[in-house]
Amino acid sequence: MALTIDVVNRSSNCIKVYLIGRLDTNTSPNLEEILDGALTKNIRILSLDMSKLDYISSAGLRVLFKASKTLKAQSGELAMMHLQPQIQKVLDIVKALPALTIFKDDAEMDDYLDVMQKKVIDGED
Amino acid sequence: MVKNSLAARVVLWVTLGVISIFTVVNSYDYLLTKELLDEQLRQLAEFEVSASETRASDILDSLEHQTNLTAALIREVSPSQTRLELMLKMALQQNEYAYGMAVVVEHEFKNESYGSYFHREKGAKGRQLKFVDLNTASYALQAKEWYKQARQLDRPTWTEPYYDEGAGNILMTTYLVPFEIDGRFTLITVDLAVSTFQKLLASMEDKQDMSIYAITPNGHIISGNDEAMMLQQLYEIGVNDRKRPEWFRKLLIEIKEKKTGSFLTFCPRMKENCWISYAPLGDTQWTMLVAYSQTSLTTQLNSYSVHRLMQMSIGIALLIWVIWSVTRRQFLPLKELDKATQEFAQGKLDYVLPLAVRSDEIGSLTQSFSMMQVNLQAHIEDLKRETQHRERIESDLRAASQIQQSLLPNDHELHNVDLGVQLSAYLKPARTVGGDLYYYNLQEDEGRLRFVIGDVSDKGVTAAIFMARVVTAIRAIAETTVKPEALLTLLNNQLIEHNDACMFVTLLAGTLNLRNGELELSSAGHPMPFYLSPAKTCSDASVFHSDKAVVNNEKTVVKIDQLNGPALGLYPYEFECLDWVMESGASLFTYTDGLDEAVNAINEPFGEQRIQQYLDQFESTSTSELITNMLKVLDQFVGDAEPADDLTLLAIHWRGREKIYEKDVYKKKITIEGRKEELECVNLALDDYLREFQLPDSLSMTLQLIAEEVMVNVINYGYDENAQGVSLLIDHDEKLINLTFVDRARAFNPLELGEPRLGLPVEGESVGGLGIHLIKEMSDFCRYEFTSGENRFTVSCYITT
Repeated sequence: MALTIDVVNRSSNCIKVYLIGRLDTNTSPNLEEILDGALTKNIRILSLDMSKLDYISSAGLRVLFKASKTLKAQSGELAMMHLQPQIQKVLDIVKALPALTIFKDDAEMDDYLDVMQKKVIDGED
Repeated sequence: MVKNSLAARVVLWVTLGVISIFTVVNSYDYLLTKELLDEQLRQLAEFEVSASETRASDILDSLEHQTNLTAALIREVSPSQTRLELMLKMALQQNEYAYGMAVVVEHEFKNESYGSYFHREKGAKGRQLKFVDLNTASYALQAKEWYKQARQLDRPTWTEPYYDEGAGNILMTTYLVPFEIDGRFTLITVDLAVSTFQKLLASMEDKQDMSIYAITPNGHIISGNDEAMMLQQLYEIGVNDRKRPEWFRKLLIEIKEKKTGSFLTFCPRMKENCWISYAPLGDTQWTMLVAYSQTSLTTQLNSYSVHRLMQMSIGIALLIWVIWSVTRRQFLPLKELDKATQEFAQGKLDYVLPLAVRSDEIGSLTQSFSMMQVNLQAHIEDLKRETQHRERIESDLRAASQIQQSLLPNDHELHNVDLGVQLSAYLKPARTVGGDLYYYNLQEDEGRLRFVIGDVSDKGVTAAIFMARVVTAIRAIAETTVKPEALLTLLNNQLIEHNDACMFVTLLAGTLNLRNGELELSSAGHPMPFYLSPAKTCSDASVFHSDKAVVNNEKTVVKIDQLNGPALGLYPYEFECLDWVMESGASLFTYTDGLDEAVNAINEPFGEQRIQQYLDQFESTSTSELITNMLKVLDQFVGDAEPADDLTLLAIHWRGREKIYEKDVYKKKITIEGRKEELECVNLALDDYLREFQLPDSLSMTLQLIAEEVMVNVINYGYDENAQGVSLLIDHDEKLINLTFVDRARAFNPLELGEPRLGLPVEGESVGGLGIHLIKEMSDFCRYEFTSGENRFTVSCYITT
């Protein structure tokens, strides 16, 4: 099964990506390539909407971790939302969850964004 | 009704015959009668003529006589005028038919000449006579024809009818008697009124059929009733008419010659054919003519015919009735026989036939029927007996067939999963019992399968008995003998004994080593098996250590080389053995000649080529399918034709050695070459498996994840050029589902990849080991081992969580 990736630029420093399908050893190189291109220096938030992601394997996880690392390096964060239960379980196994930011929905993300903006504005980190 | 009844037909034809004969006879009779009647009529006509002639001539004679007498008297006496007139008057009164009489005397002295005429008065009393003086100037005696005639002819003659103007004043004819007295011309005449004559003629015509005519010397016709003919000149009738018939001319001639005769002709007055009869009138020159029509004749004839016809009809009716009754009575026995035949036809042979009383054809027929009835009954009894006899034999045969069946192995299918062997057999005798046989024996501990297929000469009961002997001997020998050639040699020695009938059996014996695929074959005159070598699409190639085996990439079918040897039971022989090696997944197909020698409706044999063709196309590994389909193909070929020989098929499939040591069991296997893209096949196989065995869908993601992680690890880390693919074996029991990953790469244990760094990797850290962690965590058990050059990594999950 394939992977469909929808990239949406929400603002100059925020990208939302819709992942549809499977993220496995065959499809993850695709995502990696797209993210490499999308995560420019100014991006602070990469938000992944996983509502239609059915499957994730270690190859997929690696791509996400890599993206997370990249973002962290530029004071950004990788956030996810609408995780399906089996995806949640996988992330749990690799104990990655606590370290990840999980949003419930867009609203929450927007709020968070605002807070973050404020942080930036208030004190340059 | 007529068409269906013999009696009716007989009556009909006889009647028709009778009617024809009657008709012919009656027609003849009719014609004869007509002639007869006709002749009668002619005679009647002639008779009438003669009768009327007589009467008429009497009258004319009397007149002539009277006149002649008077003339003679006058000559004698020479009376005076007064005296003469008196004599005349007396004569006239004496003859009622005379109308008038006259006397004429010619004197040289004119005034001495006188002519006196006396005639009857019309209407007045006959006695009164009228006197006419003929010697007047007004009368012109000399000019009168009758006077001239008398003068000229100088002998007594009759005149033609004429109208006597001035004297008698009627139509008359006169008899003239001229003579001389003392040289003086004297004439005495007598008149006959034509009307008188006519009345006479009319009175003689007594019937309507008859017409009487008198013809004067000069041809004038006098008729009683026929106005048309009255005073016609006979000679002038139809003189201008071209069509004057022949008879008429003849008539004229005959009349002139004063002949008598008669003839038949068409009469205009009667508008019918008439007999015309003529005769001269006495001594005169007159002629009488009678025309008698055939009317009466016709009437008579018709009435006669009608009577005859009626008689005939009645006669025929009676005849029909008689014939009908007689025929029916005679044909009654036939009806009885007909009824009997119908009863016979329905199978009721006990019907009682009527007694044959008579000795004629019908009686003889009845007797024949009786005999036929008896014979039929006897025949049917015979048939019944024979059928019973045959049924007894057949039931014996059926019992024998059951015994024969019990001599064969109990099961015609063998399936041993541990040893990886399948066997299917099929045997069908041509008749109830036959001479084909097969035998097999699986020694599980030794991992050995022995099999035998054979064909006793001939078929039927004799072959069956020998077959029993052979099978029994095989069982005994096989207990102690393994090698097929030894089995055949020993068996042969046994069968040679006590074999007066010289029966023989062709046999193929084989021993298959299920651990390494080594096959030993020995043949006693029996065709060698077909060997079906499997296609190689995955990396489960076995290692062959025999140069006889061939490694192919495609499925092939070959016939193993024939090992020759005599059939068993004839003479002692040391049989040989042929060595072969079966590949994993190969099959063996053996048969008896009931297969290749089976013929269709046009006597074409099935032949080895067709066997080869079918086996080439056969895809499955199932031996029972192989045999079932082969039978279908054979059945289509043979069609309706009778089987000519016993038929036996035996098929063996060997799964191969790869699973032997580990006693692996799996329900599904999928092999990939080693490309990540093939993971999709694996996922599909996993989903199929869950569906097929109705395992929970929730396992799907877990299993897919596990499969992906293991395979990716193997491919990435463990792979080398020896690998030749990775296999996944899927199996499950009540609790667990097991995935076993097998490859032939160098030994590599995924579990040793090291603990992963959990949590999000910090900068600089590699991201390896994650997959193994997932595998361990998502599954419930895992195990790794390396045996026989294979990496085997088994992961198990509980089915219900």
